Amino acid sequence: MQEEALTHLLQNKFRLPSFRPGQLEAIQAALAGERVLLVQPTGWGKSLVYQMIAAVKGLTVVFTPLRALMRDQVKEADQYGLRAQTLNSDQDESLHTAILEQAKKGQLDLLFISPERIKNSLWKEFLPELPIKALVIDEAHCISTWGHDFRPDYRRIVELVQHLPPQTPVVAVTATATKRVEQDIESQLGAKAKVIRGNLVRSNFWLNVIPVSSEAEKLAWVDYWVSTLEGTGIVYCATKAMTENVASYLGNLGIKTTYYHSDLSPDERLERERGLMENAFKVIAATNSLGMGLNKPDIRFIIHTEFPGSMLHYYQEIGRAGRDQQPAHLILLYNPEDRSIQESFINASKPSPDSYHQVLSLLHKSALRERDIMLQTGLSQTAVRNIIADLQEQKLVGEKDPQGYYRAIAHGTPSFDAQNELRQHKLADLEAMIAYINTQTCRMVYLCNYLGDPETKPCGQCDNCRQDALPSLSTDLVQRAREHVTHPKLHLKAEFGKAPVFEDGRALDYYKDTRVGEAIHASKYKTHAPFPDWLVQDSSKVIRKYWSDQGISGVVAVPSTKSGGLVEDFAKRLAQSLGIPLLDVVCKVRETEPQKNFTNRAQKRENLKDAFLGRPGTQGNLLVVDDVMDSGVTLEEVGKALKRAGAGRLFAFALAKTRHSDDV
Amino acid sequence: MNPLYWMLLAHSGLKTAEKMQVLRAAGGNLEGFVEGGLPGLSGNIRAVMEKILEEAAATGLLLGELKRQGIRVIPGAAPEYPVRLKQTLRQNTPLVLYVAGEVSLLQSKRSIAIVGSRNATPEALELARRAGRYFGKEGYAVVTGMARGADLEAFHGVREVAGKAIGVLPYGISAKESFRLLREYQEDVFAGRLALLSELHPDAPWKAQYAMMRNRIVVALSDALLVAQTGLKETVEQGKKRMSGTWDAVAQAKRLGRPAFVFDLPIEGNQALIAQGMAQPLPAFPGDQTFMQLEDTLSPPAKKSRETPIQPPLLTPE
Repeated sequence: MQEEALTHLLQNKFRLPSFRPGQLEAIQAALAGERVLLVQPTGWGKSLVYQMIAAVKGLTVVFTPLRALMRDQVKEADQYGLRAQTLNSDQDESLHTAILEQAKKGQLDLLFISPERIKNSLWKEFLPELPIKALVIDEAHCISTWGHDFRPDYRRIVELVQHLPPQTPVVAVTATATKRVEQDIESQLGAKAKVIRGNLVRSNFWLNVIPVSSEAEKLAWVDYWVSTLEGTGIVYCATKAMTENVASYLGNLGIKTTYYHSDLSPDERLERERGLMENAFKVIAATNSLGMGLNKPDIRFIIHTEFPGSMLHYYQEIGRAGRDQQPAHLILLYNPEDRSIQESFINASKPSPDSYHQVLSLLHKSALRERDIMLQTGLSQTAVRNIIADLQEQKLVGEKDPQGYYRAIAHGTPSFDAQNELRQHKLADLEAMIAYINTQTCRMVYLCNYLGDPETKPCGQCDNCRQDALPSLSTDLVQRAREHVTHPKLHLKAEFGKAPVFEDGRALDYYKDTRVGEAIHASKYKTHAPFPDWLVQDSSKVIRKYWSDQGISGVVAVPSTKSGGLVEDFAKRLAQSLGIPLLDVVCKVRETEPQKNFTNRAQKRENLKDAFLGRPGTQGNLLVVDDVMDSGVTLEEVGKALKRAGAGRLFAFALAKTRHSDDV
Repeated sequence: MNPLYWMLLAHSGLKTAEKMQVLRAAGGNLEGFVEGGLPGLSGNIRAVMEKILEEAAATGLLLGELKRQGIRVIPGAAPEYPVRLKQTLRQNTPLVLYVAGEVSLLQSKRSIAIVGSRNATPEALELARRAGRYFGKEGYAVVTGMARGADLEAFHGVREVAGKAIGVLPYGISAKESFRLLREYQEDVFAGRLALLSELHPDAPWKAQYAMMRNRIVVALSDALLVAQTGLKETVEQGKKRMSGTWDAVAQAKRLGRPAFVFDLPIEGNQALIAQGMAQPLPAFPGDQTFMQLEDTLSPPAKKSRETPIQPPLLTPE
């Protein structure tokens, strides 16, 4: 289409005076049937590109994982007289049907779909009848960086795109793409895509890296910055446990906060996102599952308690700050030891060749669901997902069928090339991230160059450009944080009758590399002597500190498999020290395997299912005691048995807690 | 060869003769014809084709999806397309086949269809299973409709001896019933002993009309048709006339020149088939004798007809 006609459309329908750099080029290329990859920062105006395509061509399907954005997009399209709808998992079937009917009859210009909807049977049913004129893939980097780990749905889009007739316009959009990701997306889109790149500099960003040497220092810095900086922000953590830890720490200090990660229900997540939008929280501690599509323009700061796995992730995560162009502070807390967290993520995502063969030979014999595979192989959910995704990529395993089953669809031995290559890439990404942390040059220039933008002008705002000294951390702040980390909270999620089984849970300390952990290990595996008395005294203090006013009337020991009465002996001495009785109200009704023999949660639960029985008529508020808490399944099962028997409020206490489950 | 255009044409809603007209205009090269802008095509057919092509994206997406499920889409002009279907069905041969499992089973040298009522007597079911076992062991591909009753019983007989089987489905290959079969018989499908086949739109649900339509494929893929049990040709259910699917299959066999057999059991429907000369009676002996007798009458002509394959001009490979 001619520039003139498009400008006319822009001014009349969209009431905008002129195109921004790159927009016209993108629209013209797409309308001419080219495949287009747009690498443009957030706020550049990518939505105009697909709104224009929809206005000219008709039904344009936009795949986007950003549910919050979808709603805004529909409103915006409405203003321009475009008929737009969204399809997402919040809607019920009848609404879905109605929307798809509209699309089928040619009554829609824009249809926003979350990628996981492709699996929905209704969508599949309507698909052949939809007059789709163009296709847009938002957050297209998910094809490349996340595709392998968490976004198999994106792979599906790619497969679908490859089968589109060549004349159908396809536009992929992303804010972040290194040259490698760009090439990857391009090859996935099939044939020569036109790449249109914009400038990645965020001139309102104040980038900082602060070295720390302990968990307590991290919390103290978070405390310092959250109290110092104005406006609302996000604390990104590498683990779910850390988000809860940060939130509970800040919460205790009276700061309005909460945590956010993938274990929360969709409702809870939505509620917390809304809380953030409406400034009900000063700060939210989250894993990277928060943020895609978070459309809050005035996020003033983002603190990372652990560095992410790559620069791409980092740019993506900090990209959520300061969209209103006002100054935003980005603080990365760097403890060199955190490297092991990222390495363990990389290793966890690389299953062994044995597990590949195991999964594949199971699927040769019969079709299985993800959970069946976990139970029969003992692999973690992540491992099973990665293996399946890779085997699907290699065309050895078929797509999940509508009832959730996978089958082997071809003979052949799995290749590990893709996996090894991916691992090398991830390790290289990690090195690049650490190089960014250690760089002495302008951080913004470093970041942009890495991401393929040839910017050279120093930002003048990052810690390296300013060269002024960091504020110093007061010892009070550090001391306060140290107290918090000494008694880690036990995160027990199980419910009984819609209420949590446990009111609260604490450990004396972590298991690995602590005095407490070493003492437990020595008693259990070397001396086989009772736990030392200082453990009893310290535990007694912790319990009094947190729960002295909870009316606890008895102590219950978790019945053990093998530790030969160590826990019971400890519970007895603890009860004496607390001045309350040790109660014999729960027993084991069948033999079980030691929990550490199992690698995933589903198996651990299966191992202990109905293994404990509470004595009927049990009552009062009770303290349930164990030595080491790993997955928490044992405590949860004992708690449920006690609740069933009639117990009142329950509190859990473990001598030590593992950080990752492979610590034991 | 891009199966996309074949799928589009197959499910275009055009009449059989009109589809043939398109293929004729394409001169066997549908892909080139479409990309060349449908030269020589005019009128209503052209208008329909243009509309379908404009909305081809959805079918393209569907094709990708099928591939991810390990389902093969075989256009009429593909070398894997069973020659005998074209030879037998001519104009009425499906434009595309959707196949889950080993495609080469469709080209089996020897094959026999075993079909019958959903609600068959224990005796007929037993015979169906024995027939499946016998022909499975002898290396025949056993073709059934995979329906409850006689069909599945015959298939289970084949399974017992790890023989080869073809199931012609009365619903689309991505219908939930298909996935149920794929799940249940994953081991057979994967080992290359079972191919499930449908000509319908992949998402089509079960319909009585489809059950009838598939009979021609069941028959055309087989050297002969064996009926385990059937009801009467027409029954009245709740005031409505109902045609027997098995009778329809027998009628197709007659039309397409395949011998039909029926177990000589004291069952009204079976006796009616024999009385009307639609199918040859097959006495129910114990052991393999019954089936050996059938096999003897069968082998020579079935072999002969394969020696000079005639390719119908419209569906020759591109």
